[in-house]
Amino acid sequence: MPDDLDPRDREVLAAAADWFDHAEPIPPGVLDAAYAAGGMARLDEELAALAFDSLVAGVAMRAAGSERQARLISFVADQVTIDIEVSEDGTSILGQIDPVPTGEVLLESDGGDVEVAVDEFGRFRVGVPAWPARLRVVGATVTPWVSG
Amino acid sequence: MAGDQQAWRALVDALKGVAWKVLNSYDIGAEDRNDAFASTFFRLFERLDSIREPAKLPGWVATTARNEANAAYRRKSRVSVMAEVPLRAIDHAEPTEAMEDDELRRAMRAALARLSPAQQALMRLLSADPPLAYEDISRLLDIPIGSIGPTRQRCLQRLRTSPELLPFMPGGTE
Repeated sequence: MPDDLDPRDREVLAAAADWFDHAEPIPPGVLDAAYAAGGMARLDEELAALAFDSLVAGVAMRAAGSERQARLISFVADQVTIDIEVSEDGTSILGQIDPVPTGEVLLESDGGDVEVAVDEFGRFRVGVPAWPARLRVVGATVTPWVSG
Repeated sequence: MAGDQQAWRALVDALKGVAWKVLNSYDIGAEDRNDAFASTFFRLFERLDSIREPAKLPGWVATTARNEANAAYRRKSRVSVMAEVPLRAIDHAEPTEAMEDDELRRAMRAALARLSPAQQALMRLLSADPPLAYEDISRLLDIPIGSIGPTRQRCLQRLRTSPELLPFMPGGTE
């Protein structure tokens, strides 16, 4: 409630707030659905740990056959390893997932979720609509958020 | 894990009022509103680790709730993908159950019904707890930030001086 109101107006706004709370209550079942959103946390997916980051390691890596310096990052989860290379201009990611995922792979960001097409060797290239972004190997793992 | 669940419930409790007030400001059906409320918190849970400043949570939840309302509106109404969900007027009808045996609440309903849906929405959003920043309210209602203060004053004055609420005001019966 704004505190720059004179007492009369504050009283009216408080009465209005009381009315909204009583006339438009949250149905209990609906609130339960919101509580459950936390419990349904993809329990089958484990947060992958950052294993290597060229930015942190302070090593300037040169992507093969190019003058550009790409950022290389590796993630490991119990069953999966993900290696990615962020293009220097930050618009795309080149990567490989091992073992080759059987399910869907998503690149998630505030720019929307993008389905990642993975080839028979687990390799992929995907445009990044916005940073930070993260990769989700559905049913297996999700990486921490990476800022470009 | 149990601790996480508890922390999550506490977070939902802290932000439910903001999400619900935003969703009640838009003209979508009750079912869509309920679904949009749940999806707002699904999205919050998914993005929790990317929202670093707790102070930004109410604004984030408000924006997400509005997006969900827009999505529901566009799905149902087959309107353009750019169409914005219209604002909703409060239910004018007297409730059937004894909810409003409180005289002040009955008067408040009648007084609020005198305001436009946009003014009603402003009153609703201003009564959110925790409070929404004017910046957020401006985006939610598509009104300039500078107009919020003056509009708020006008609305409160209209409520205060309405025939229904006047008797409840100090000196209102003189």
